[in-house]
Amino acid sequence: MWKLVRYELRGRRLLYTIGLIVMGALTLYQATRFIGMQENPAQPAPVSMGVPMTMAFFWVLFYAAMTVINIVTYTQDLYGDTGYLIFGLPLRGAEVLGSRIVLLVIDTLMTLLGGMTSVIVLACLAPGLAQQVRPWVAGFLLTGDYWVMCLGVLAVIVSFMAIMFFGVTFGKTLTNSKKHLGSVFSALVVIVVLWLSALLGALLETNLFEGVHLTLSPWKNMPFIGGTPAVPEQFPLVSPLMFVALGLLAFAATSWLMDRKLNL
Amino acid sequence: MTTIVQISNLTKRYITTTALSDVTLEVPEGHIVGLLGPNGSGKTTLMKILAGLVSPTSGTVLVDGIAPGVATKAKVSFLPDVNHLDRWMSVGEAGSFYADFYVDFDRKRFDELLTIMRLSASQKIGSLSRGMVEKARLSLIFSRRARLYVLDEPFGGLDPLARSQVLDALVANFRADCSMILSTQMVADVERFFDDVAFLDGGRVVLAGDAEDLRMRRGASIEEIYREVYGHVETRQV
Repeated sequence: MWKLVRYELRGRRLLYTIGLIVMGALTLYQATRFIGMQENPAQPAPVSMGVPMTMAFFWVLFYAAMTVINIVTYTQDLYGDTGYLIFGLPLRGAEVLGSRIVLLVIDTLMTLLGGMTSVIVLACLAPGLAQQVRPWVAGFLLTGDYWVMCLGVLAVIVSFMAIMFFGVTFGKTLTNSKKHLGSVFSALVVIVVLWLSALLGALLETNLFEGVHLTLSPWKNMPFIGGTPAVPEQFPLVSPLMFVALGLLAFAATSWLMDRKLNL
Repeated sequence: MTTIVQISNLTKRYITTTALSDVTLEVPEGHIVGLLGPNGSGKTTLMKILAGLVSPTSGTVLVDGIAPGVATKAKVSFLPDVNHLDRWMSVGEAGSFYADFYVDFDRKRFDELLTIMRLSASQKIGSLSRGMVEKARLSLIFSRRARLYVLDEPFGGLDPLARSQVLDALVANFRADCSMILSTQMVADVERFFDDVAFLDGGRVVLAGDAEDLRMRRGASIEEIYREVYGHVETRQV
């Protein structure tokens, strides 16, 4: 599996690398502007947290685009000619799928770290904002609740992608090489699974596990973002856990389909 | 004699079509089998099943005594009828990829084959002509010391000179402890290499046997037998 991860990292990361470079360049451009504003003898207008947050929004967009590309690449492997190379390897379905999940985790972590670095750098350089933010940076980075929240989001994203991979694989094995029919089936499978998951999650949250929540204060060391960050927030626990279980099930089912029901 | 491929009553159905119907075939060790038939006769499906890329609907398929899966993928060297290599790879990187995943890949043999095929390891797959890509793919396939070689239309896009080079490589590389299944429309060029032939039509084996025996019994070359067997197909197509 790790050999496949290495190969994917080496060969199929052109778009991701280009995206990272663009995001890095955007951050540098904005950072240079802020430095220029600070060096200006005239009193620069204070910059609100909105500017670094806009950059965070761009990172989210970048990540969404990369996620779509991940799914498209997987679909191309199943429907396209390179599938003979990947699925012809003496590897179990779990290893092939596992390599995609590992790549997804790497992508997510790199985007998270890149995005955080970008936002923190800009916030620390923004005129009027830097003085408020700088004393809190170390505290924020050491906020355990924030990282617990990130871990939860990562688990949900990976589960979501496992369900997407299952949908694509199921559509392909069911319809064979009819790409459009397979895509429709795939989309239907994903929609049905997500809808059922939401329905079941809500049902469990309101009936069986009422009042079971995760209480976190991820923003407690970020008083400058406004609101009442020190007040703990209640996050749902049962629905995400069920979604992760569904993701694990999707992973197992996809691996089984790859091993037993492949139709390239 | 050891049998490398054993297929019994194999059927492969898709939603609307039956690609293979009740196919029974054996390939002994050391034999080159010509899998012949017009387009849509089920050759590619049969080869993909042997390569572990398509699952059978019913029947038994054994490659070296094992049902197609991870274990047989390590023993079968499959050449699909389309370019399966990533365009970003160089020829040398494709070799490294094969060496990483297939324990039977012989890097020295690969370099020798590249020299024979007049290819350079630094050439990018995406920049090669169709014929050169075919040569690169064949070099990769024959650099494996596989138990079974499954070649689907290996001469597509090759000019006569290149075809001759490839055929020479094919003969030089063939070992007594392996078998080869080869599908081609260029029957006249390769029929001299066939030990056995199997003619497929509409997903069924319509004629199979020892190539020399068939020639003797019918008093015709394999190509002529092909025309005889599929005459109705050609007439229907016209």
